[in-house]
This record gives sequence, C-alpha cells and structure tokens, in this order.
Amino acid sequence: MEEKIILEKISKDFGDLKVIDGLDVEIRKNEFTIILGPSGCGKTTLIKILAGLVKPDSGKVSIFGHSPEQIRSMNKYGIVFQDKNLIRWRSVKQNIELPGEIIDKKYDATRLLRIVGLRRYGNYYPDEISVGMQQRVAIARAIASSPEILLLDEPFSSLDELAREKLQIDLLRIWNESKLTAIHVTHNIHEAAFLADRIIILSSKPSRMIASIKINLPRPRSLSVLRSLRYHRYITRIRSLIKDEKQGYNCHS
Amino acid sequence: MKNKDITAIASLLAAVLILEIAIRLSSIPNFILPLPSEVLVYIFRNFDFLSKHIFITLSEVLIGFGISILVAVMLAVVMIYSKVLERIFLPIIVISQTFPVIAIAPIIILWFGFGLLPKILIIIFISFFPLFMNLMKGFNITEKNTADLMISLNANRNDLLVKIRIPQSLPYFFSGLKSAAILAIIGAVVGEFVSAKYGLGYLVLIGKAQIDSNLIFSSLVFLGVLGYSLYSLINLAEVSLLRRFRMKPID
Repeated sequence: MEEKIILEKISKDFGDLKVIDGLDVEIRKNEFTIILGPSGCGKTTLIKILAGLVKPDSGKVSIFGHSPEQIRSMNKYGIVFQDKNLIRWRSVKQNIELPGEIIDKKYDATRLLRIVGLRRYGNYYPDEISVGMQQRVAIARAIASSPEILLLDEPFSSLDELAREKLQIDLLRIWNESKLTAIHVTHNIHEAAFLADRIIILSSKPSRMIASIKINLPRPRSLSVLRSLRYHRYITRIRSLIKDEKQGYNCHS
Repeated sequence: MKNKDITAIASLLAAVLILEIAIRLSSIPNFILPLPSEVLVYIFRNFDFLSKHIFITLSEVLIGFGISILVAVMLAVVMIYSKVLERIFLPIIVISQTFPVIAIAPIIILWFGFGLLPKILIIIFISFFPLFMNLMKGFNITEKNTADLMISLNANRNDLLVKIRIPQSLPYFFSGLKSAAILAIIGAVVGEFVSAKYGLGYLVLIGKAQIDSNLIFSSLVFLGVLGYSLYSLINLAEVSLLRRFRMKPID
C-alpha cells in the first residue's frame, strides 16, 4: 500500500470564483502536516476535498492509494470541523457515541472522554460547557472510530490563547499515541510551527503551494519549544515566505 | 400556577365582568346579546344536554386531529425521501388548500354520508396542511456542516432522518401543531354546519333557528374552552420536549 497522500493538479471553482488552481501536495503517513494559508484561501475546501465531501473540478486525489470515498467507507477518517458541529440535543457522551451508532459499533465513550480530559463531563450538553471543551468533544468524536487520518479544519480559531495552548499539547499527545496521519488547516503561523512536522504554505485565492517546509523541532513537543531559537527562526522564515508571495514573488513557479 | 396564567385568567374574568356591566347598562335585548351570567346559568341548567354534544365534537376533533398529524408526518417523510413524489404531490396539495373548506365540505358529505367519517375527513383536509408545511421546513433546515458530518460518518438517509432531521424539526412541528389544532376545531364546526344531528356546530345552527342566543353563546364558550385546552396541552408538551432537546420554540 502506498504510504502517501497525493493531491495532483487539483482545481476547484465555485461559480466564477477560482478557489484552488492546480494544487500539488504530498503528505506523508503518520506525519503531522499543517496547511497554512490566509483566511479564505480555500483551506476548508481543501480539507473537504481530502475528506471526499467536495469533488475537485479536475485533478487526482490519492489517499494511500485509495479514493477519499473508499477511505471514508472504511471509517478511516476523523474530522474536526471548524465550528465544532456538535449536536445540541445530544449530551457530550452521546455526541461521542454518534459515529458508533451509525455503523452499529460501540466505542468506549468513557475512554474517549478520558483521553480528551472530559471524564466528568459526559452528561453535560454542548451549551453547558466552554468553547474549548466543545472542541475537545469534537476531537473525541473524530477519533472515536480509531481513524488513520485526522483532518482538522481550524479547530482552535475560536479559542483564547491559554485554551489553545492546552489543546495543542493534548492534540499532539493524541496524535502521537494513536499513530495518526494528521492534516491540520490553520492561518496561525505560531500554531503551524508548534504542531507540524511539515508545513505546506498556500497562497491566497486561488490556492497554490508557495512552499513546503520540514519542521525539525524535537518531539514530544512542550511549550518550552516556543522559547527556542529554532522555533523563532522557523516563524521568521514562514513570515518572509508569505511576505515574498504578497510582493508578487512566486516560489512555486 | 405561574404568574402569566394568573394574568390570563384574571384578564378573562375582567373582560366578562365589563361585558356584563356594559350589557346591563345598555338597552340591548337579551336575544341579541345575552348577559354572561345568564349564559353561565344556562350552561349549568342544561349541562347534561350540552355535554352529549361537547363529547361528539371533542371526539371528532381528537380523532381527526390525530389522523391529521399522521397524514402530515407521513407526507413530509415521503417527500424528504423522494423528490419525484414531492414534485408530483406538492402542487396537488397546495391547489387543494386553495379551495375553501366550506366549499369542500358539501362534496365530502355527499361522498361519505352523514356520520362521523365525513367530519373527520373535513378536519384532516383543513388541519394537516400547516403541520405538513412546517415539517417540510423543519426537515430541510439541516445545515451544510451537519450534513457533512453525517456524510463523513457514513450515515445513510435513514440515519439523517432519525438522528438529525426529526429532532431538529421539533420546534417547527409544534408551531404547525398549534395552528392545526385550532383549524381542527374549525373543521369540526364546518362539518357539523353542513350536516349533523349532534355537536357544538349543530347547536349553533339550532340556536339560530330558535333565536336562542343562550344556546349559541354556550356552544361558543365550549368551542373556546376546547380550543384553548388543546392549545395549552400542546404548549405544555412543547415546552418540556424542547427543553429536553435544548431548543427554543420558533414563535
């Protein structure tokens, strides 16, 4: 079986709007890949293409040698949506049990709650817990089926700085323990450098790849990484790449 | 009892009292507008006679309304599953609703005789529509995100209906249910107007023929009580069920 996720010459229009234009991306198995780009550059569309929720107008998507639909039918995706997407009439526990109900399997909700640090909150409802906790529920639901690929669409964009840092650490722990291939979309440069093995930088609409950077920071990562010189060098480098692009310089071509 | 219930009852009593005084002070003859106290006395004296008719109208309403709910739910579910059937039947349903029920009632009586059945059919005809339309709306408000979630979890259409569409349509269901309940009572009266030997609508006709305004007003009082009770019961169910589903009523 092929060990890579390959997007080849992906294009997608919405009406007159060219959202993605001939995008080539390669993602390695078990890596934590960040897709970094400005707001509204088609990152969500890209995640949906990877998940098989949106069909590209042209180009080829290969997920370890399979189509997104095949991967989905094998329940190998876990998706954390941007707006959490919890079902408000279901308790935290019932939200986590939803994936199992649909394919007639029983996942251990108590274990999942423990993994995301919400052991005591199973009987609460989404509107009774904080946004950060809601996002934890969404992560628990996404990993319920023990997926191979975790897709995260700006999961932390609505969180405050402290909640964000805590969740980032927890996410890295879950990723590491579960041997996941994580693809995480964000517009936050710091988040990108902190989480990633590899950062794929996209231009604004239509999306093209500006650069693909390998991040060589030690694992497991802790918040002390944020103070390291190497981390700050990466930040500076990413910034300059984005800036160059804005001035019309195109690394990709 | 809650504060707002007390307010409702107090204002109703006040209105009746003002009416009583106003009529006493005026020179309106009794057969045009009877005193509320007179109507009340009439109701107490003739309760046995009235109760038989109340029971008939109540049964018509409950049976008709019950079937009407089933019809509305089934139609809405069918149309969720089949766009073709929706395209075929929706126009027919909409056109049928442009006919005034008072014009349809004689035909229904003509086809189905004089018993309970035609009244029930009239009630269904007039009351299923607002419920059906509300359900269609409630079923179809699924957000793109929720739909994406369910697709990503390999949910089929049944899962989507049972786990998302039906729960999310509850506020719309209750909104439609309240309109339908009131229309069901109107339907029963219309049916009884066209042909009946029993029921509150029938009593209104008799009252008119005999120039017995006490009888007419007694019937109206019970129609009001019937309508408001049904409405309140639905409200009660709505409040408790929507609270359990963490939702708010839409009206």
